[in-house]
Amino acid sequence: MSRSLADHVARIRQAESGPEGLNAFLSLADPTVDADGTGSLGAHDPGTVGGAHGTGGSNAGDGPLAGVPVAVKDNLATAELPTTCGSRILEGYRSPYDATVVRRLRDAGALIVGKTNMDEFAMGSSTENSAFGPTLNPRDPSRVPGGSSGGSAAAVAAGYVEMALGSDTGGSVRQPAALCGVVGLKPTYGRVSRYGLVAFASSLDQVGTFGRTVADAVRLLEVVAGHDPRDATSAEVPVPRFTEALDLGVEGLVVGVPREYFPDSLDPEIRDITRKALERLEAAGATLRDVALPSTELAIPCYYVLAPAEASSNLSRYDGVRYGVRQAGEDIEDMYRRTRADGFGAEVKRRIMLGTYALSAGYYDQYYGAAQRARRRIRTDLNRVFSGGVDVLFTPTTPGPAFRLGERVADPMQMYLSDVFTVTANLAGVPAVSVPIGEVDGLPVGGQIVAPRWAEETMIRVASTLEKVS
Amino acid sequence: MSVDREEVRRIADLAKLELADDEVGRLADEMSRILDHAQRLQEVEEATGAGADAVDGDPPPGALRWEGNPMDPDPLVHPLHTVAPDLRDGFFAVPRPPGVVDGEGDDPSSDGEAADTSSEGG
Repeated sequence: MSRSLADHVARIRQAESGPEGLNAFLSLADPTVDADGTGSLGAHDPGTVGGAHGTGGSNAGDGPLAGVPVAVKDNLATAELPTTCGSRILEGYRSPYDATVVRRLRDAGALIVGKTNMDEFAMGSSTENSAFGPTLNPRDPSRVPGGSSGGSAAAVAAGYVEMALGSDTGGSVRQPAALCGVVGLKPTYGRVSRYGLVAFASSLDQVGTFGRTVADAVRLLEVVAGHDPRDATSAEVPVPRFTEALDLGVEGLVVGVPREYFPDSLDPEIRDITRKALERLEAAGATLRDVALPSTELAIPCYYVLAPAEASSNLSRYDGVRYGVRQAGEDIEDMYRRTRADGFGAEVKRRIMLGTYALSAGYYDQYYGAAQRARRRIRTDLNRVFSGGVDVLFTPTTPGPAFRLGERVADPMQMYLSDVFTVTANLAGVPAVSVPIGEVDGLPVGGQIVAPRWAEETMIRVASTLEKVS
Repeated sequence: MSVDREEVRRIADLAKLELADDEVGRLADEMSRILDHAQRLQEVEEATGAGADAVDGDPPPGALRWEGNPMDPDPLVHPLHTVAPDLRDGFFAVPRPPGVVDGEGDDPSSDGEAADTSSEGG
């Protein structure tokens, strides 16, 4: 029996209010609230906002996601629910428009149940940087769900929703998917509109999809993908029927295994689980090939110069002038400084500082210029491997399973290294997906499939096969 | 790469961030360690040549091709005054800039939050 939006929200609210609440949501829809209804945000008290039109499509019975409960990460603009990006500086902010992907969800009949928790402005790998408290991992609530899309990953893993939207700038869909034991997919840069996705690093950001299964994540991608004239980086590339790739198998495909992703220091259990997944793919008809990606060592330093540099520019708009929180100041400059000091958390400030430094006179070429040149080398490396007959790459998604809450907050560099296997796909603009492939001490572990640009279908063939043979 | 407290304050000024003293010290330490890691970019360039073998991939079809703007702006679902901190007569009201004194094209009746600027006369 299909449930209504109100039923889903009530179920989630009850679960989240109890002792096993995960703090996965920052706001929940309530179609019974009138158009002027408002709610308050709190770490364990998701606010309730909504409108007379609710958050389901006007033709809710007709579309490909008709009646499907979906969650949306809180950096995607929604007119009927707050959009905070997990930050105090946007606390209570109501966007005057919907993101294109949100609009497409409504048109498909999806039931948007709420906005999910995230690391502030998508900067983080654990959701501990949210101004509204961390989300807990449904598989072990003493551990992080990953980030920055931790709320979306947890919401799917906990069964609150069937699918969710996230954003992936350096791994923020794939890494939490791996740590929560669900599927997380990042498409080719330009495949999905960024209109209404609050910008963190504009050349790296992409909307990604979560699902309990590969099929769910792919169904959601089919709905949100496609050219959008509102987004200048949205490519005019036809959207294939991705779901048709789910049953094509891997016969004849060549799977590259980059040796740099299996260093001697890799956790032996992760290595073992990944190797067994590769053996299953080989048994299913794929050919494995050892490949080299020597630029891999540049990926983290490259990302952690470029992303903060772009973020320092994108976040300069949060100045208290036109929207968001404003702190009083003696003059406008003072207002800017106090607003930003009060509104941003420590990680966001750190990245703004790093980015501003990398772009400042005297350091621009040494850091930003060098990072851009490194990015080109990384893309060239990947192009060389894919042009040499490799269809996809297969790697671990993360160097380890979910870590404990608080374990890495003291050392930002240690947290940044969580992204070591995921950032390359963002730097090169290629699609990648994480699929559950096993467990370490009862905690889920993900395997990552990376494909050439626009080759999501090939990636889906491998992901779907791996899911079937696991 | 060592970043000292003075440098942190200079960068914070560029970034329009007000930092507490303890934040300055902490950021100096953290930025130094992160930028040390980023030094690898230059080391590789010096060892192998900067982008000597780099060839750009093709841009995605249709990307960045400007054909004018076919879209009219979306109508706002919520009026501007519901999101703006201080909207007056269609303008975003802000404190006056530093050094701007009374009478310099400024309407005193719209000066909501700025502190009283000292008179420059006399």
